[in-house]
Amino acid sequence: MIKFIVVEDDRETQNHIQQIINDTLSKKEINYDISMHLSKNKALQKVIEDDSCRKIYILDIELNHKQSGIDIAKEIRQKDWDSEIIFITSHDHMFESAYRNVYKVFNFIEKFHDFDNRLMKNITEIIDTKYDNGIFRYHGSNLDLFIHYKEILYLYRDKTTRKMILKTTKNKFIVNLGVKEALDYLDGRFKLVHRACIVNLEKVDEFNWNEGYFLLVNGEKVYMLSKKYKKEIGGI
Amino acid sequence: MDIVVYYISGILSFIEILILYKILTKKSVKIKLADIIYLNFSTILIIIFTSYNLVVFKMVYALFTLIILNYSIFQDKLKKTIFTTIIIWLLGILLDLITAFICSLLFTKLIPNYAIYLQTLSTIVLTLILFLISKHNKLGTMYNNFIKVIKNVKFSFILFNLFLIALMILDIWCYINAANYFIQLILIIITILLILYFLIIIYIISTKKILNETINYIIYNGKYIQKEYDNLSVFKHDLKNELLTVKSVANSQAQELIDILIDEYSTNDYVNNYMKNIPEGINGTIMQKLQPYLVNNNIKIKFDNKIKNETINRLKPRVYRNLCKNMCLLLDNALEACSKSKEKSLCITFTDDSEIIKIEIINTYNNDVDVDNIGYSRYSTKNSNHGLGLFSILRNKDVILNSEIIDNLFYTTLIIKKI
Repeated sequence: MIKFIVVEDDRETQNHIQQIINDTLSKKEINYDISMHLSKNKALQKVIEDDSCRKIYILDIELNHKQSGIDIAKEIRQKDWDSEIIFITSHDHMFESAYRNVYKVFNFIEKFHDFDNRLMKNITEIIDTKYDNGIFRYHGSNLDLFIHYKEILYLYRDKTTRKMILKTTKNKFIVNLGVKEALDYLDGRFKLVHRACIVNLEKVDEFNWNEGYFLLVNGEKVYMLSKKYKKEIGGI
Repeated sequence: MDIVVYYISGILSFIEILILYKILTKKSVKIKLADIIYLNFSTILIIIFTSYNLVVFKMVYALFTLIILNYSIFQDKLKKTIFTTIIIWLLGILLDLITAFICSLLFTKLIPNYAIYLQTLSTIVLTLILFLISKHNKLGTMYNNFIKVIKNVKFSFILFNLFLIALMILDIWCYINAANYFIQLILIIITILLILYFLIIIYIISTKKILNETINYIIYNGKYIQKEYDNLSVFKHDLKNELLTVKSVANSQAQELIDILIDEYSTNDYVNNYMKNIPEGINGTIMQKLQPYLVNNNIKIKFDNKIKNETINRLKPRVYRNLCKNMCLLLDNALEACSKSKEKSLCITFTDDSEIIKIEIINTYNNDVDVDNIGYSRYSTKNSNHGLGLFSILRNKDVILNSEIIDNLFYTTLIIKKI
């Protein structure tokens, strides 16, 4: 079930967006629901807090009330980093790139520039992407860590510090966990491939058992592969 | 004979006080005939008050006479004259009380003539003390600073003077009617403490007023800068259009030069854009922090301000200091991390309610993070001389800091209590 949440203060535009969503999903066998809101209200708040299904927000930036679409996006992201957000704007904003990166906005679509096609394309793109909301959650003394599983490449235990190092596509995190402890924080796509290394199978291009390394999708070669664990990952 | 003694003593007392005034204020003396006549007249009147035992009238009239004489002779500002005269009069009475108390311990009965000599003696002592004060630069400076403070006080100043006069009159009356020496001593101590207490209150009121005026100047300067930036933006906008007009009739080389100029004029409006969205009272600090990053690092920044301008201005100094100090520490970290990341994006939101101010900073980053050590002393993702910023904030009991990492975003919330 996918829930579309449209926040737009103009009824005509609301109806238009609803039409686009229906047209986009008419040929797909997907169970979906559309929820319309003129502004931020209690009903919208309830929807934001509900995490029972996948959500796609379509928000107008320039709402005619005290809150703008950006404010609503901020409130969404205080509770939910898994839903996709598409902003509708009436003119080109150069500064949108800051919001795009910081609030993980899927796209900004201008109302008067090929709106229908762009919105249809974005919705299709989101629907066709596998919904993956698994998160690695770790609470440090002064910092909480939330990393989506799809971002994690592999984890390995550093001999010197005796801590687990979590490597993502962009960063490295050091956490105070043992190897087996770390497995409890992860899901089935993560497998032990070395006594000190856990890898995200979805991020691996190639396993070279003879030379003892695995090749990741980003081209990185990691020499932490042991034949002892070949059976556990199904002899890939 | 008594009358002659009283007269000479009275004249001497007035002259001593005039000398004291001159020592304290370092003003030149311009005595007129009218001043001399008034001085003599006042002395006679005081003798009459003394003979009829009208102590209160005598004290009030003496003060009144001194103010008029000082104002006429020294031709200083009225407020300063009044205040300085009252201080001298006050110190004189205090010293009179003390010397009378000491002598009455040694002599069982205080005879009138003896009292006059005591009064004159105490005035001479006071003159010497203030003479010494005037030679000592620090104390002289302190007095001058205090006079500057008094200039800023209006209603409280009047209240202060009336309070002092009433207090001294009451004190003298109680002293005269005191049952024993112990009560007299207590009265003297209470008077000294009350005067000190009131001086401190005046100082605090004045300091607050100076602070408010300083804040108003800063706000005015901020608004002026904003206005100038607006004018500059309009100028640049118009200039760009003019250049485009010229470009349409220029040859290819000139067109290339015009393109360079237009690019140059298009890049620097960030200051104007940002200033409008940062709360007044901290916009200068934030812009100062941003400057090194904006020109060369191409960071994308967005501010969202939901704080009313008066909110920051009404904060107590301690709270304001907390806000600026901790916000700057977080901003330093956020800007440094953001500038090294690929996305180079930073959003800051300012909100407030009745009890707290909240600052949320979300920035992209590209550092390795030790999740368990972050916030501890000397841990830093920068070089070894850093590592005290977050540690310092976490130790501060007046603020609450929440930090999260969500994938490649660093999300920090700083909550500062207004009270």
